[in-house]
Amino acid sequence: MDLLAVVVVSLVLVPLAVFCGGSPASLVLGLIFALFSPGYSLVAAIFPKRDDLDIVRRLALGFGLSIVVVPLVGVVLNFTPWGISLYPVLIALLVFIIAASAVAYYRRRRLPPEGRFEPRFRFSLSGFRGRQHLWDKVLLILLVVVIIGAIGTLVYVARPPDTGEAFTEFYMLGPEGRADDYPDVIVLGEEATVTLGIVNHQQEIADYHIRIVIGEQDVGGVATITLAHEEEWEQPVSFAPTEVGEAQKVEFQLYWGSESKAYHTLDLWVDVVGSQ
Amino acid sequence: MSRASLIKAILLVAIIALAFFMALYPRLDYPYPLHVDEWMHLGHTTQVLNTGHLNYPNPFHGGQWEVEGHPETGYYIWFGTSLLATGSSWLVLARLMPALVLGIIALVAYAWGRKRGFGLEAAFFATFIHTTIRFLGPAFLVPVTLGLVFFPLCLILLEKMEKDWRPLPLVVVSLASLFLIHGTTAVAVGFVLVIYLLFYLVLSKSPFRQTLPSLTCILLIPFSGLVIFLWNRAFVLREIQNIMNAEKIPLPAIPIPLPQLGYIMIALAVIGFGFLIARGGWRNYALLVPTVILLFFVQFYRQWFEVGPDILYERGWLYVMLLVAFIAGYGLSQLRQLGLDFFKRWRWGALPVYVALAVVVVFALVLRMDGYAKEDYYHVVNTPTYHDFKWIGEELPQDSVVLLNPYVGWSLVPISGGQYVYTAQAYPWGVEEAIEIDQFFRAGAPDTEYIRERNANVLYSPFPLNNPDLVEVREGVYILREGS
Repeated sequence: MDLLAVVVVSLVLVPLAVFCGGSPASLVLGLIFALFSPGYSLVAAIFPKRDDLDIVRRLALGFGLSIVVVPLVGVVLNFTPWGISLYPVLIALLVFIIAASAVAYYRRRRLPPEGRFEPRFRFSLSGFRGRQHLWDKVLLILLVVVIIGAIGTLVYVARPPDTGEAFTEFYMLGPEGRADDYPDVIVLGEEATVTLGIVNHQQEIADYHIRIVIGEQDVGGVATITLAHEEEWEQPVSFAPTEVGEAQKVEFQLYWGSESKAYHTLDLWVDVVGSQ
Repeated sequence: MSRASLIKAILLVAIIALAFFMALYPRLDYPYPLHVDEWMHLGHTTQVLNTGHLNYPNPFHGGQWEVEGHPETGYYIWFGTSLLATGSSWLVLARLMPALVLGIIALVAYAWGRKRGFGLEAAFFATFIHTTIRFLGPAFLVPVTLGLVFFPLCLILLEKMEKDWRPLPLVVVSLASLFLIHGTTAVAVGFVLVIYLLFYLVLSKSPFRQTLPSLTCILLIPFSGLVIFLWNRAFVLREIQNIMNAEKIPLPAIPIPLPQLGYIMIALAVIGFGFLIARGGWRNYALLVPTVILLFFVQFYRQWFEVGPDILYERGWLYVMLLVAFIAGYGLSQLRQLGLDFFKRWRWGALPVYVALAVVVVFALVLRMDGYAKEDYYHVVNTPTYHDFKWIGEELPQDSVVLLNPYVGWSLVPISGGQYVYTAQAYPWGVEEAIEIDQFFRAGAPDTEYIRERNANVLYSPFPLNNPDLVEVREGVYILREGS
């Protein structure tokens, strides 16, 4: 049963990791796959007898020897044409787990039933409701509570806390929405376009507006943009310089709320040339 | 399950939950990795996964030279495999893994100590191992944390090997794997195992035939280091030379971390030392002697002789804390047994003993948390910087070379997913070039040639820059115009 469980978890994990990586199920099964299954199947293969090792040491060695096995499998993969990536790693470990489990199964079957290690988990509600001593029932319930508490502790402390830091992202991309093709030479009378983006992390709804300024002169802008917390805004924005000149600094000023001073400013240097 | 087993299971699960909490305590209010070493190792793991190989362009030197045979490559494979198998983001696993690893350390410590009657105590005090910026520790996701698992793991295998050949290859292979994860820990584990085996061979009364596996193990342990020698010969030879270097090197003082464990645990460790000596027997000496030698080494050898790389002494304190934790557990178990023997004729004799134990445990934990709370941990990045780096990874080409403030240099690579960072060596080692880059930013980065010489095309600056060849695409993020 234990070998079957280890192999089944591993087989279920592979498609999960490929198609649903990052889901809670792939997180749990993936951790079992990487941190426990290789070592446990190895221990089972080497120690098939009941009195070789008790269940506690098998579990402990399962975790510990997984830390041993995984790096060595990775080093071997490094020297293959496939390298260390999703499919080779999953398949290599899966092959290891299945092979070790198969050896464990074979070796156990060669032993008499009373001599082979076969963990059994028996729980019946009728036994629980029956004449079991009250203290035993209390302890069993307490064990379940503590296990839930341990899992809850892990989930609680492992979730990233919200730092509460309040800020706004303000960025500029090229006209196609990529970080390239920023305008550098503009013909007087024509418009240039960039893509501006805002992300609100102010922990509240925020109003923004944008001024595009060359020297003291407004050459473009965007009126009020209202964003909820974590909401994003990204749009192409055009501006038209009004004077010819080299190395003119175009300032994209982001204002937040009713502040009179710019919250962020991004600069773009352009040459403005006369029309032909 | 018997009642006693149920109680032990409850306590063990509670101790593992404590391990989760202790590992994550320094970052309960901070979502990111803490120590620059964590960021550095995350960066290397990112590169291993990006390239699919263990030789890759160094992400921390603008990709200008190759990392070949990194000495902690086994750790990068282990964490990289976890990332691939779970499909989770590195940020989630970087938080989860320290908790899980300390939980595993506690579980394996329990599995080893229970045969000698102090499993729960060993597991409990194993969660007390302190984490500092200097020594690192279980709260940081770093190779030495993973290496701590190998102490109780190999001790379990050695116990089994007293009557069985089968653990022998497991011990040798475990050490070989550990040499690829963290060589310093492998040397320390090997040292502890050799001492253990010597005491077994010399003092136990086992017949010669039964001791053959252990004798063979002693002979094979040094060969487990061959794997790191074959992996990176130059590194091993350099480290050996550093260790053997007889020149006096002025080393900065290392504060002893033991008081942070709490004085109850220290008192129990002293009591444990006493019991180990008083009870005698090769098993007790096998735990006592390597602890004393390691303690002497990290505390006195360094002060008297001032030789060797500092890392030996810094990481050595972690091993000492783990072994002292085991001995404190032994001490507590001996007191427990003495109490139970004393009160056994009374009807409720066990009750005062367990009440006293509970009081000791609670106060030990309170004192430990007090020591823990006083530790200062710096924050490399804040949330705006995290979002800046994430944006760089999403919007800029992956082969971008980023010139940036050296202090945050280590963190760019994992957050962005693999841009190269040019920092020479990152802060806080304060290499001259890193200081030079900082001054360059303060001056407004006026010299475009300076940027081009370093193959950089992106700058991340905490100071406003004033260079027409740069486009400020986001606050602090500048890209070099093509053709400039």
